[in-house]
Amino acid sequence: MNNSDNVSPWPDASLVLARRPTPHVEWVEIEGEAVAWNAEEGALHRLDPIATLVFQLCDGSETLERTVADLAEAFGQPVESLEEDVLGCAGRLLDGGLVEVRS
Amino acid sequence: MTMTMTARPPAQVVERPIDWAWRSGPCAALDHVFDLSVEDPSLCAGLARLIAPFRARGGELGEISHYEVRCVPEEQLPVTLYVDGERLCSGRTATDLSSRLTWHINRSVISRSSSHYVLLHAAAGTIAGLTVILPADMESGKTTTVAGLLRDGFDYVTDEAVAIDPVTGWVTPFPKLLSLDQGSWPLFPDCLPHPALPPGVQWYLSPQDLGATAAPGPVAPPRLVVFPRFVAGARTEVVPVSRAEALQTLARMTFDFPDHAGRNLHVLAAIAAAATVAQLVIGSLDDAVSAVEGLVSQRIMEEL
Repeated sequence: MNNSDNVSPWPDASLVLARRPTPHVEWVEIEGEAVAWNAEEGALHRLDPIATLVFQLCDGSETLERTVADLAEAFGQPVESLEEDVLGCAGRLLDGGLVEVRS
Repeated sequence: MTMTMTARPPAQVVERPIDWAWRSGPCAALDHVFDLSVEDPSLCAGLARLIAPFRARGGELGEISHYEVRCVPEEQLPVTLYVDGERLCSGRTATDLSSRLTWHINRSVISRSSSHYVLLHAAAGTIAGLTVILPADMESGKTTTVAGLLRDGFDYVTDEAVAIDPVTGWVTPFPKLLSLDQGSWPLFPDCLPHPALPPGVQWYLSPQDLGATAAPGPVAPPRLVVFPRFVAGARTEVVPVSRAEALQTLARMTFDFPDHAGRNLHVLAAIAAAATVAQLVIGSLDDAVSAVEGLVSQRIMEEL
């Protein structure tokens, strides 16, 4: 799952996403890159460092909008410069069945 | 040490009594326990050679499969291989049966051992206490490369399936005879096919044929993970890969990965994190062996 994959429509920034739990998704992180197994789809995903960061932040506690703001603050960058990357990653994580929308 | 076995229901294939020329006694290839009975004396030496690495010396054995080679001289293909009463193939010589017997043993090893071990499609050897594994798809050069390493002083672990204990990380050998494809035969001009098992599609080599020995027991967790990729005419080179990329490939090379996905992923991640990982583009066997030996030396120096 790289940034060069087909771009999905961005998810709504007001959504709260959470990593899907074991046994639906098994994952490990190694040197800043996550490798995640979606058991239902039988698919293994390698996440680039940005996707890994977004995936790790998907803990069901914050909206994507808040996540973007937190990352912008952490990296000292304007929200607009990160929004596309973060929401794009979130869309691919949803497409890959690695995260789910928390209601 | 006592030996216990659980017999499967007897095969009901041939009603006539059989005077076996040779019976192997119990054999164990990882969790596949079997024996082999051969009726035709002319086939005994070849088939005995094929299963020699698995002759059990004792201990607790599980459910046993019975391979039988029966002979009906008047048939066009007079010898037939059965497993637990089911016909696998027929032929004239030990060589005719060897590839099917090898295939069935491999398949059974995988199906019976993948819950006990993390089982990788890989070759492996060990030297100076350092275990090198070569995970790859078929036709990538696993067997040829490990054969080259054996010729250069490595001990043999396997050319087919690396069995990793999920708790300790140690590797239990699956030391089947090396199955060398025809394209690689000229690379080993000093090895002559065993007269009892002349080459058919593949050439079956023991580690002793290559001047090596098989590791006598479990070997240390892998510290060098090299993904071989034979490319005809290419320059042999070591290509760095990230640990995550290595983990992804290790997962893809794991037999029955989905059945124990969580366990497998964590065990493989531990290996990828601790080992030197690299891809090896192979254009020449000698250069590939030198490259692996260079990585081994580098790793040993790092660990000193």
